[in-house]
Amino acid sequence: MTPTPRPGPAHPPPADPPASTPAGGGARSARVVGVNDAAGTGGAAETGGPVRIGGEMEVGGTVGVGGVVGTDSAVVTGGAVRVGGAVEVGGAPGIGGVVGVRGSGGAVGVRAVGGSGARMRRVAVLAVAVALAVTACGGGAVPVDRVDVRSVERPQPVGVEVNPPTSTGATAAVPPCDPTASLRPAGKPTPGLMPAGTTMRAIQDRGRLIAGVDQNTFLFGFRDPTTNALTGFDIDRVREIAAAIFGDPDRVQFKVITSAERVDALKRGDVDIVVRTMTATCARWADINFSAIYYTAGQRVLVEKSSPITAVDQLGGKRVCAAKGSTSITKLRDSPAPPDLLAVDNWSDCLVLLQQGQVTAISTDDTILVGMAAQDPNVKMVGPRFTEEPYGIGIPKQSEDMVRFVNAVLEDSIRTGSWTASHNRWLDGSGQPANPPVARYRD
Amino acid sequence: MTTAPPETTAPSPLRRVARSATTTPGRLSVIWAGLLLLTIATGIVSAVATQAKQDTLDELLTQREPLAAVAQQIFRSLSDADATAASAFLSGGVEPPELRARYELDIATAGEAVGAASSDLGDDPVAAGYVSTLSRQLPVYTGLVETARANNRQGFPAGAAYLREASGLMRSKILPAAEQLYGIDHQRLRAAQDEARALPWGPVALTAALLVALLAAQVHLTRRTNRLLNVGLVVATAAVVVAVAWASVALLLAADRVDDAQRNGSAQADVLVHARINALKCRADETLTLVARGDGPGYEAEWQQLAATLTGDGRDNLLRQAQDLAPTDAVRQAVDNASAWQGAHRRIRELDGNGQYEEAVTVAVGQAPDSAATTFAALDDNLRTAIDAARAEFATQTTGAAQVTTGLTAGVALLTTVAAAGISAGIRERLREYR
Repeated sequence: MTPTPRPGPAHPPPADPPASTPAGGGARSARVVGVNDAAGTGGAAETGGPVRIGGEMEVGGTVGVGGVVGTDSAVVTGGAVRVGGAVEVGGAPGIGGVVGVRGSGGAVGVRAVGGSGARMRRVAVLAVAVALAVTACGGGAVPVDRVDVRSVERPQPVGVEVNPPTSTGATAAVPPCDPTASLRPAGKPTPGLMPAGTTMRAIQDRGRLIAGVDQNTFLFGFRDPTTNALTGFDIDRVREIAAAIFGDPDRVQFKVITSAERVDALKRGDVDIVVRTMTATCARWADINFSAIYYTAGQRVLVEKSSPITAVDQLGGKRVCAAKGSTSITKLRDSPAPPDLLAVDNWSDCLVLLQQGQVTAISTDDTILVGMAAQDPNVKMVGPRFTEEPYGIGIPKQSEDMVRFVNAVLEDSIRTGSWTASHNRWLDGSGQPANPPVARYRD
Repeated sequence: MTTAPPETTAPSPLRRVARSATTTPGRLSVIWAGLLLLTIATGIVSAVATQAKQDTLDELLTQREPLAAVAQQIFRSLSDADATAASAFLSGGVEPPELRARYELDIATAGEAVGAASSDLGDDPVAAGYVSTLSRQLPVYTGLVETARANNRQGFPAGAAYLREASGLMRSKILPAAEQLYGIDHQRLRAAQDEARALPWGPVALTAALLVALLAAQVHLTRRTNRLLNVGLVVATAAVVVAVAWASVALLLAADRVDDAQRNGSAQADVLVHARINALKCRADETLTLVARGDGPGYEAEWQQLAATLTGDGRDNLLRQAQDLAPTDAVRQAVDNASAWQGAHRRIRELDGNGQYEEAVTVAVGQAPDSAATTFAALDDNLRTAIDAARAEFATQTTGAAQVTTGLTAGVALLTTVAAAGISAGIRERLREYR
């Protein structure tokens, strides 16, 4: 666009100047400024501003055609239209807006005729006031944030619960007993020739032993991700029992169960045995049978290497992870300094939470904690064992013949050294000597 | 009648018109002005309405359907990522390269599609919320999957725990957001289709009024002037009738094509998209049941529920619905492959239930022609083909609808200009007789 007014006799002046679209303000203002400049009314510094507003001309691109309607009148109307433009522009480059208005006001003053000019001047003055107000407000301008993220939702293991209520079973009064004393073995039939009418015979006839195990507890019962096979110290016990029944350690169907499901799975008869880091307790003895103790663990605390925590009594109010339905979680809840508990389905979920910094510590049997420390060199076990956790193989209450049979298998295993071999294979790094527990029987 | 009052104040324009209407030339001027105003109003409103129609059709093709497709891609690729990650884990050791490649492609597609979806949210805060969930949680998901992978490669069972957490995040937060976003985009597509089909009532009413006014004016002139026809007004009437005929035919044809585009295109695609996503969820359930080794009864229950939408006898069988809408070869093959897959699934559950876990895994992820992996892949392929065909049908029919309305706006504008000119010429001819 040329900044000088072109004579436009071919174009009649618009009939109603103030009604022109304000969007054209930018486009026309450039021309008005040019007029000002030529007439010398506006200062050069002032016109510099409006020319930059000329960027607004893009907005009024189509209206630029309107400007052609009357170049002569553009000087007159331009003032009014310009005011519109200035008010619009005012928001962003406030200074340019003010300068523009002043310039156009001058133009109107020079060229305008009659009352309409006076009215326009009033409008222009008003616009200056508005633009100044806008500029004044713009003094403490705040940048616009399109994105404002202040918090994140951290991922959590499926089924995690914060401070779950105590399990119902804990309320019943439990008669005192010796949970480590099982039923005395009564001979061991030849594999594949189980006596008729026994539980073992039923298993043999079925063709496979159904064992409830864990696939997430490193070193005891876990799925080896490279071979897809279940392995570990507990799994070795299962295979010994299968070998004793069938003469084949692989005749096993593994059913993965959580800590909380162990007793119920046995009561329902879903599984023949549970070998899953299961502590023999008097409360559990009320519902199921246990074999002789095949391993003795103790509860300890696992923390980050840099953690100042050294014992369980420092965990009060801290976030601590434990598996639902485990003896560990009961011990923590009854601790003199009870922690904030996060209960999960699997022990490996606890390691995930610790690695993600969502818990301060994990507390459970040292055997399980050893497995976690083996997966992450940045964690350490602290404090002494503050409980004793005798592991037994869980067996349904009615299958006493099976208990005696399993105990015979365990005795065999200890005598032949296969228990020790298994211990050395999995638990060498646990810091515990490979001393098999001495079996105790209640007859 | 009345003599002009002495030069005191100028009478208001309204009174001037009212007074002049009492004379015949004055009345003619009023008729002229009224007809002209009505014609211009009708012309503008009709042109705007037809232009809006064309804009809606254009928007369907360039905005609504592509965005619904984008939302569908997010939903599908994320479901596929979840199923593929589970299959890769089940395969043991280092995951097969083709599964890894498939997972990577899914994540890349989902990321790109979330970006595209965020470009056109309108002012819908609900949709914006879903896109926000997707953009925030997708990186978290991939982080968990990669951590799982690193642990798996070292032989640590923590890898399985990370994968469970990742899958839980996907199923509890990400997939529901993707599903809702797809629902919103599909709803917007349907709304735009309804809009494209709707009769423009404003122009219809104005055009009817204009025709009545034109006829009334001609009857009036015939009575007053003893001339049977006023050529100008006849031309104007003809122009309006032509415009009405043109617009009616074009808009009815367009509405018909939009209808076709919906039934055989977008509605069909919607049913197939849901079928495909249910198939993917089933596949993830199938593999996760094996990964959990019996510790995931929820997965098998969900499988049973979702499989009914693929092979069931009821009305909620999506493949049957798709067949009812538009029976194509791809849909027929999908029905066959779905039942083959269900057979494979039954074998997996039987083997796993009998303690033959390794054999069950082989049927699930092996490459035998009747394995679950093979039949599922075939089903997924059929559904993809069918969805592509439905989308093509949508594009063809909607483009057709846009084509039959081509030039309608310009035509309406031109014809109303002719009508306006006819009115002016016709009335001026009569007015001249009074000078």
